[in-house]
Amino acid sequence: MNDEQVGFNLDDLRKLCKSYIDYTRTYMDRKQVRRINKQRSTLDNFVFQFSSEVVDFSSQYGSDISISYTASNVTGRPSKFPNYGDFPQSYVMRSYGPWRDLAPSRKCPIMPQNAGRIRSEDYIILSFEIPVVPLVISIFETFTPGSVVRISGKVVDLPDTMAWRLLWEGLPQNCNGLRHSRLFAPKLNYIKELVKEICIEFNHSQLDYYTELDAVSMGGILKYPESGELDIISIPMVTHTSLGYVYDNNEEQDQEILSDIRVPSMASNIPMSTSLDPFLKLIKNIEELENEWRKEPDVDYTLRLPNESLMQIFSYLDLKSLRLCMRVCKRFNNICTDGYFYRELNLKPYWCSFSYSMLISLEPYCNQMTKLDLSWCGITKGILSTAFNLFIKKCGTNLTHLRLDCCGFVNDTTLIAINLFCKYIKELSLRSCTSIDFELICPPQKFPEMERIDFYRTNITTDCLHFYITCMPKLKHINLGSCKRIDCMDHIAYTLSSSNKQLVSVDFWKSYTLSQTGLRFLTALKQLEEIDLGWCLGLSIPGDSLLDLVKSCPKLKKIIVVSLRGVSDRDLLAFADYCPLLEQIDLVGLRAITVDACSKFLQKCKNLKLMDVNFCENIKEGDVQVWRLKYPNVCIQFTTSDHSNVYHY
Amino acid sequence: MPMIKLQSSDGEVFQVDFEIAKASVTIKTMVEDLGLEEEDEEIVPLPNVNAGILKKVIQWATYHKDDPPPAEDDEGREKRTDDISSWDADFLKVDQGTLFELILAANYLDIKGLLDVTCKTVANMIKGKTPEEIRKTFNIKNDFTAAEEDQVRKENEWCEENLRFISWSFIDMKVNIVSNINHYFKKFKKLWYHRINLSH
Repeated sequence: MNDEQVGFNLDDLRKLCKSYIDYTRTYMDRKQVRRINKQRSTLDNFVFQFSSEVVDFSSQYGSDISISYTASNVTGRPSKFPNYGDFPQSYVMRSYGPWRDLAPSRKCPIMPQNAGRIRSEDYIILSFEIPVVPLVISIFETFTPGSVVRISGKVVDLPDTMAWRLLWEGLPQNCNGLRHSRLFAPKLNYIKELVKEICIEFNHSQLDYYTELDAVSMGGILKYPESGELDIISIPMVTHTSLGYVYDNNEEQDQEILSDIRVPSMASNIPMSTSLDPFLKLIKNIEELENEWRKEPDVDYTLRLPNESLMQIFSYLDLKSLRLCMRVCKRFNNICTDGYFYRELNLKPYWCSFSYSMLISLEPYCNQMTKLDLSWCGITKGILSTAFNLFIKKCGTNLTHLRLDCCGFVNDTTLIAINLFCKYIKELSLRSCTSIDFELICPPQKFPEMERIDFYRTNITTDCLHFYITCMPKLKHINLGSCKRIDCMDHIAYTLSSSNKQLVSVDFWKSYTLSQTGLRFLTALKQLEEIDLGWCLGLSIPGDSLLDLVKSCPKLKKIIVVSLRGVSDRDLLAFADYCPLLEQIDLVGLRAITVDACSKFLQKCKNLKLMDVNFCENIKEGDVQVWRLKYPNVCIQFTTSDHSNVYHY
Repeated sequence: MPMIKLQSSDGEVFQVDFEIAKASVTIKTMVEDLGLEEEDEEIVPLPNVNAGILKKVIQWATYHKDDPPPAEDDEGREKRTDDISSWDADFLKVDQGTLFELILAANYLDIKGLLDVTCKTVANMIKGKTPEEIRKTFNIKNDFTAAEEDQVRKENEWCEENLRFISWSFIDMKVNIVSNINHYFKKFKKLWYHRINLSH
């Protein structure tokens, strides 16, 4: 089939896409683009557009009441691309690298065998104005690119639980050596249906710093050609373009996977010979060997294994494989339905098809369930809060860990259900659960075992939070980041200091109402190992409060004081003197600290692993280079000036 | 270096470095319990392992003799299956009979590392396959009746790609029952508001 019959050529589409992109870069006027369109009259069917709206996202660096580093920055045309650097006009998420997993507040994995090869940590769902059959999706990454791992498209006019299609997935990358913005346009799985919304998933584990996204575009056709198929042509390799950015279609990665295919170790025993015959014979031998190994047996060897061994084998299976194993034979069925396999359940990887029927099919085996991760499972709207509450009533008795991040179905009644039915709950994660109104300001009964609660970006109020934390006598970890309805964080700090003396980590990220008074209350928390005071602007001038805090909390391992401009050399040296275990420190935007103090600090902190001194005005690149040589075990974050931008408060 | 003699089920005797044989908790305990000394002529009998398999086990243990001891806690252990080393992968390119014998031997000899890697290998042979493909791979007989099979299949409809026929009736059915919780909620809300007002 030639291009004429199909109606268009994919290569042309890409060229067109690039010309559109170049257009946005050089601010060409619209007429010229129309001219391009006219030249390619066969492509009338083709639409190129930038995302128009953010439907949902899991986390953002900025706060909901600001415009810097927030999710909404990813809509519309690129504003900074192809410039490379840290721009407040982009979308930034909350983590990078391994640091979160190395902190005292790290969470345990739930059913890790179900997480798959490519785990995602964050997502954003974007909507476009015109539904198209997607052909090219381009992500404009302006800083530390490489964390996109999955792109899914939501087909229009289908129920949400059946609408999501995988368009692309790949391993997270570290492109930090590039120091260029990247236009990431991976080769998509082509589908025939129209898509209006896409979900991009991220894994930040390989990144050296926060990734920043400027824009996302989707190019596609209005209608799939009725007769014929798309002509899929391979896309050029990664190249540095003269335009100052890097175009990446992820081809390289595919090749890596290909090279992973191994030849059996016998190949190393190949005898040296001038004749090709022995070599060919050997290849034949290897082939035979491989075939022998792959050959289906004449006997059912699984019968020889005791159930115990089969259980051990099945314990490595992801949930879908386990459920398919159930259908093999009666013996497998009996083993696979053992409550042992359902003690931990992680349905987050299946968010795109999550529905009530999935949960109900697992329900009969879940009576021993202790850990449940349903994060992101609200995206498909496949379950009502009432139905979930009922599930909790039935299967929540032994539950110790429950994660419901970004679940729209979680509301006040769900909280009550958890409170009433999960007596042993130790961890409850409600990150970005924005549908909870916290109208009922006090839970009906105590959470006697609760050790970890995550309220990041929820609508919890001061009164409500006060009652909740007094109900949790064993609390060790609390996350209160970006809770915009808490109007008196000092009050909360007081409550924590009086009723939760064992607290190990506390996250106040973007709590604008925390002041020196509140921080002084926290000096009662002697077990504190981690404190996040990032962007607590009420603490901009901390006075002696920070000093008092570190003096009384000798176990501190991680301190985040991003943007607290009043933090001085005296505070920094106090950190070094009083917190010998310190491993991670974030000093971004501290204008007052000097090179001398940092040098002394580095010298004194023997356990330090991470120090972030971006936007510290007194520190110059030369100093950082000296430190990096002197302390090779410390990761010192400092973006060189030619890439950094003016810092906006 | 002290040596130890191991006898397979079919009578063959293998002389092995004790440091290597120690990978097997069973042998280690046996030796310690028997109080075997260096230069001892006593032979440790292994009635559940034949010579061919024992040879392979020794080969594996020799290669892995410098591995760090396996972690004790089972809970936090990684359940990945894509981390099999290339040496192990090649080592386990054997017919299924041998592979399953190795699992049994690792189980009996209590060699955690070998048991893990063999189980992972089998798990990888199962992953991503349909029930029919699994049966074919292992030559397993389907002993379900058609009705039973249909029942199990229905229960797991969501596991199949492109699932289309989800029964939505479930949701409607449950909605009535769960309105109870809403009722609770309203009651508590009233009660607590009342209480708080009183306390002020």
